[in-house]
Amino acid sequence: MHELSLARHLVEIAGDEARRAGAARVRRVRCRIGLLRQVDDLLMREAFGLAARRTLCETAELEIEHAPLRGRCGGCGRVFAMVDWHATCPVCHTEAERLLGGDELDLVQLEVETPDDQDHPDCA
Amino acid sequence: MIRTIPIVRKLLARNEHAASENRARFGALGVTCVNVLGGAGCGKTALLEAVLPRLTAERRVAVLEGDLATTRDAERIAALGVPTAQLLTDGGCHLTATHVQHALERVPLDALDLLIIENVGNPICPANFDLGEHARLAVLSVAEGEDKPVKYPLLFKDAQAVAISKCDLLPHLRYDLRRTLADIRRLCPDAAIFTTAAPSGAGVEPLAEWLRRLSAAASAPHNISRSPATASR
Repeated sequence: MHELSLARHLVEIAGDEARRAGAARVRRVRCRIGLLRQVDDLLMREAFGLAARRTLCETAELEIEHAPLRGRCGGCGRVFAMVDWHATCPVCHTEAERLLGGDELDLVQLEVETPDDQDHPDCA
Repeated sequence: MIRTIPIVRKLLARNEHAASENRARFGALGVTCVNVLGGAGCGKTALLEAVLPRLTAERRVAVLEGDLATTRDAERIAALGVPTAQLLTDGGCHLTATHVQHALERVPLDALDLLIIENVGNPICPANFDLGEHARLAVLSVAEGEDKPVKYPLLFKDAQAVAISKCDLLPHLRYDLRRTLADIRRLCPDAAIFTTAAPSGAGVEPLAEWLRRLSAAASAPHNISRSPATASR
């Protein structure tokens, strides 16, 4: 159950970025989580709701983008996305010699509401 | 006004910052730090009990014992005459770099060659948290089943060494060791792999030699760093 720990970190850095942008409220938080992190979406959403209480993210919606695990083929060197640990190259059918990625754990996008008086006149 | 802000920030940046501080401190003092990870009951403590007596003549070693509750494991290590500090997480399922930072006050860090951190018994969560170690030793017992590298891949992906423990049980199990080894190889092609049995001491000497070499490299300060794959996490 590392979801709560991850959610706390997510709320903390999302809050930092939102304050830097002068936001009054965060509407949407998008994160990218690799397959190897073994994060359960349902638990992550629950944890995010708990961690976000009384913060700028309190009413924010959490979007989770999944990053796949990729294999580098031992025969042709091609990099392919693995599905269900199927480590055979789709082109030359050799086993993957090395696994790549899948360990992503990033905040990638925020949608925030800023007070209208902060709008830059040029943008109006 | 509603604005969309693209960002790329690592979720665990705060932990990684604390981990780099730990690593810098170890580096400055010429201490090698090894993080030992594995599921509950996989034999981490028994393996340390077997390997530590082979190290203490030549290396100054201390152990940080991470546990959810009780000081039993720490007592087992302390009984070997090895300086030990207990880290109780009170139910927390993993250690963080900050836990370690606080515990460092309780070991004689400037008089050490090797600091071993035994993480909380859990094959999933601890693997997410860099503690500032130079190397990870993943422990997997044959009693857990041969499919575990695939079920707990992150445990192995950043490991510099893997110990397959309780191999003395193999004659009693239906266990395809070759399959486990192939899965581990794919996850961490460069890791050293040891097949061990703590009660008989089988395979323990090669593990001790790996730890000796690792800590010898560090005694020339700043000589070791983590592998690029791990450092970028």
